[in-house]
Amino acid sequence: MSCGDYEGLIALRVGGDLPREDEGRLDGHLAGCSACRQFAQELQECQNALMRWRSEVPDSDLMENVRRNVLARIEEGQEAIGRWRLQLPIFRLPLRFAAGIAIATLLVGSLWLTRHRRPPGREVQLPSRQSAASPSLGVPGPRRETQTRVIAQAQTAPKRKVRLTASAPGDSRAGQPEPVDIMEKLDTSLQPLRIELQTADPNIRIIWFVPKRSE
Amino acid sequence: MRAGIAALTAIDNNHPGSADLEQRLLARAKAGDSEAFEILMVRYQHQVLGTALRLLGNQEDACDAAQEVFFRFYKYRYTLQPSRGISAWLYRITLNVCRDLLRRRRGGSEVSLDEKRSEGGFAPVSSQDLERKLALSEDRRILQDALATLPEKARMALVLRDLQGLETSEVARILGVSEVTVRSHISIARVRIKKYRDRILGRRS
Repeated sequence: MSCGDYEGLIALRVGGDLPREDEGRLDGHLAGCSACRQFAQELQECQNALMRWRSEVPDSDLMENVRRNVLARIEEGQEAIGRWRLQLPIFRLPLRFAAGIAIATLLVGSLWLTRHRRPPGREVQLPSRQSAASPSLGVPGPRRETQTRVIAQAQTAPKRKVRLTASAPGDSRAGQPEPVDIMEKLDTSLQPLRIELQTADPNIRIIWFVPKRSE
Repeated sequence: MRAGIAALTAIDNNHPGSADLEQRLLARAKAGDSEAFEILMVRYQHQVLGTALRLLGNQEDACDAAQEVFFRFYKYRYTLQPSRGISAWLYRITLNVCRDLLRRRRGGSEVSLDEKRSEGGFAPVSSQDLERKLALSEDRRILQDALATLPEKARMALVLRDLQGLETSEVARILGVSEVTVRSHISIARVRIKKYRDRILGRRS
């Protein structure tokens, strides 16, 4: 190794960073090289100057200014956030607009819900079904030889009961079927309650799952 | 509050209860207690501002950097894990902010070192000897100029190791490199600073 290679080791030694395994090698070289000893001495003086600089602390007024500016900036940021929270984040709309949109959404939602609510007496006439009644309803199917029209009438009572009526086409009161309350015959243990509504369009059938609520 | 700050800053890191106190302060700062955050700022202001002054070499940039560091500390305090130590986290932020500032400085208009350099921002030397004061101040200026000639990684390693007094292992953790790499950086840095200083002093003598 040349003297240039030992400069790095000397630089580590003056700061106490020289690995132990290199100590012996460096000592051996320094013992025989006056130039490197001179270099080591000068490097130590430079290191001492760095240590003196280390002992200096930042000016206290400067530190106080920094703290004050940081706190002011934080407070400013919090005020901005406060102003922001009064407005919608995306559209930056004033509160009145936001309230208006919320009310409009509620109205539309309630209108949509009422569309699915059947007022008492209004019935949906369904085509006759020859197949057995849907097992999910738990209603014993009509006899196959009897054409039965299943009339489903949804009620929006709190318990969301489904009132089912059945009538036979041959009934003299076909136009005005006499509803038979068969709620007690429903197998309420089934979950959920499934209601199928056949619209006027034979290709469109509405299937409605009503979650069963505990009594 | 002032008495509280004075009491808390008197508790150094070697105090047995300081880590626990710091965690409680951090928890309160996360909950929005601005007083707790201010206490933490006082606790770490030497570290942050001192590092920034030494890396950037002028008061104005160092103050901007320190403010940015503490603001980020406030903004991201929720992500800080107390077990990992606030000090190392703050050092990393300080290095990143100073690095960004230096790159912006280089990328913008060329400002000479003389124009930007100020008196350093350190407290005046308490020595009564005027000559000694001047010598120390001059020495600091030479070292500051020498630091500016170093490569970025070597400069950071030297500032953390020799000027902030961190152990090599801590420096390695903060920089995200091995201890061997840190030793290589500081070895190069010390030799270059020594040669720069010799050139300046040699000219003057």
